[in-house]
Amino acid sequence: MTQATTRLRSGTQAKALTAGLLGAAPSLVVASAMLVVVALIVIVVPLLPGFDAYSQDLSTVREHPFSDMAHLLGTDALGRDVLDRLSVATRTSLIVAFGAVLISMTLGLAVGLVSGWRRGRLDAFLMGVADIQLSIPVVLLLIVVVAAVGSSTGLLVVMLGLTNWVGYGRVARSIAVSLREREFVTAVVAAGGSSWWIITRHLLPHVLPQVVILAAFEIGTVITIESSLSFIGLGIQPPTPSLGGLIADGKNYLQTDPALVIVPALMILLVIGGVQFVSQGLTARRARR
Amino acid sequence: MVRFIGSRLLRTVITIFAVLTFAFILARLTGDPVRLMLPDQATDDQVQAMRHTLGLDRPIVVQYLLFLADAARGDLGDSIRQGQSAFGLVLERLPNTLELAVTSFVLGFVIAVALTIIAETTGNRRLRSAMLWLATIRQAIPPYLFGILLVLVFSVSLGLLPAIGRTSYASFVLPVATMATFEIALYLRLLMSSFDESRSLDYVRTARAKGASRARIVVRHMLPNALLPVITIAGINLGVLMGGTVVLEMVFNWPGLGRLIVQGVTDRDYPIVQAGVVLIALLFVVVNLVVDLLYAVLDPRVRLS
Repeated sequence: MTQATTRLRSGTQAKALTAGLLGAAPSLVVASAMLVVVALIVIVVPLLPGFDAYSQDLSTVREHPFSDMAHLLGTDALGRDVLDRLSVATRTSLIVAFGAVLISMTLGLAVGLVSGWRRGRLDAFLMGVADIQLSIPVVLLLIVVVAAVGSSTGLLVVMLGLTNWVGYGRVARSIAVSLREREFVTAVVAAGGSSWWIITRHLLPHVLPQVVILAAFEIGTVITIESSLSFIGLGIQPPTPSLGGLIADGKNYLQTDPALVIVPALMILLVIGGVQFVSQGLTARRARR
Repeated sequence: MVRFIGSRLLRTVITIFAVLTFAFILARLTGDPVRLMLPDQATDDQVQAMRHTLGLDRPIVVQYLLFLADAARGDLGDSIRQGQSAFGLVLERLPNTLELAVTSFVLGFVIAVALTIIAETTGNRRLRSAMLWLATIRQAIPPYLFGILLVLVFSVSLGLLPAIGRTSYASFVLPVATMATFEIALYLRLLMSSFDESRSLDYVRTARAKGASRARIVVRHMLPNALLPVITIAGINLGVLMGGTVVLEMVFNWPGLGRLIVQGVTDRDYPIVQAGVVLIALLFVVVNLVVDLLYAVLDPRVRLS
């Protein structure tokens, strides 16, 4: 092999590699790796002996990570195990995010499909409601609600769910609008299919994949909002650990123990990065088909 | 055009109405404010008298109408803790929040446009994808977290910049950098995808056939078209920006609206929270109205349809 061809080949290889790195397929690999780490911490850590996210021990306060085998990631200002708290916090954030996304997705699908299928006045009304919903910033909306009725994890899930449906609604509606003119739908109408039958059996299967990709992306958005609220003390309430809460606690020891902020920060990046890469990978995969 | 303006105005009015109604309903859910305002040993007579002065003994519909009438006059009740007009207290803090939000927006927008122009005129693909990747990563980091990481690097480790408070021009650097990078990321991605779509369009090809330089095509022909959809997103994004600034104020101990609102929640001072949020919602709604109208001025297709 001459030098020129070697250079050419390694050149194309490098190009293929960068294309690959920046393209879709490997991002699914990267995302999976990130999410595996998250899953290990959420699922495996609670199974380890001595798992305890709540007991305080003032004799072992703010130990550094990897200095004590009993507390692998160190301890916080009250001597609680950071790894165990991280595990519970991540689980809490994920449960809140999945719950909220499930509510938004269901609501968005229902509104979007009915709106796109029926059109007319109902459509105009529902999309008007969507516009108004969009014109009230979600974080502020949640802050007033918390100010009025207090914060609880259940309320947080429902409120996050009810305020983030517009994206799903618009996607579902636009697909439903384009599908209702298609022949297979006309055929079902001619055969006497009811609206309910058409929406659930014929429109939903087309809409669902798109909406699920959006949902994967939205999990990151919802975790951002939830952890922001928990950070300012208006989200998940102590003693339940949450990622935003861990960062707020750690912020007081930034000078001496930055690990108390860095550890939960890395976890947030892993979770949000992971779900966004999955969403990108899925989008690219669909686009290629 | 008249119809377009009319429908936008109507929507704005309905939205403001919805915000106020929502605030009113929530206010009734906070529980009895009288108990919070009076000392614990207050007699039932005193409680009744207080309820009467506040108008809480009237029918709910009357209370609602009075609330709307007061709100129209800029009166959203008095702060429970400080006894002053809640709206006045909120207005006092508004400039401190706006200076952060506006500086971040302007800086972010200008830098994003500049970077897009550089990437487009040099035609360097690697530069382009590097920028897009950085933008994606930046967008994945919540503002408050990015702010703390900046504090960790520039205040704690390097000791270059003040971490908290609003004492000098240097205090602006970290909070503005936090929000501005977020804005850069957003507009960079929007502009680049907008450019992607227009690159193969007829008007670009015509300009190229006329022998226009690459820089001229990018700046004079493609940019104005790419900016149009971005304006709408910028309006909607204002809400995210304000929400982010509110949270960010807690990171940097910034004496703005956000800290006042959050303090209001902790103090169970609902009128303050209500006034703060209504003010931000109003701002947001009005800016979006202006954006919609601006869009109609800039894009004849909207005006004529």
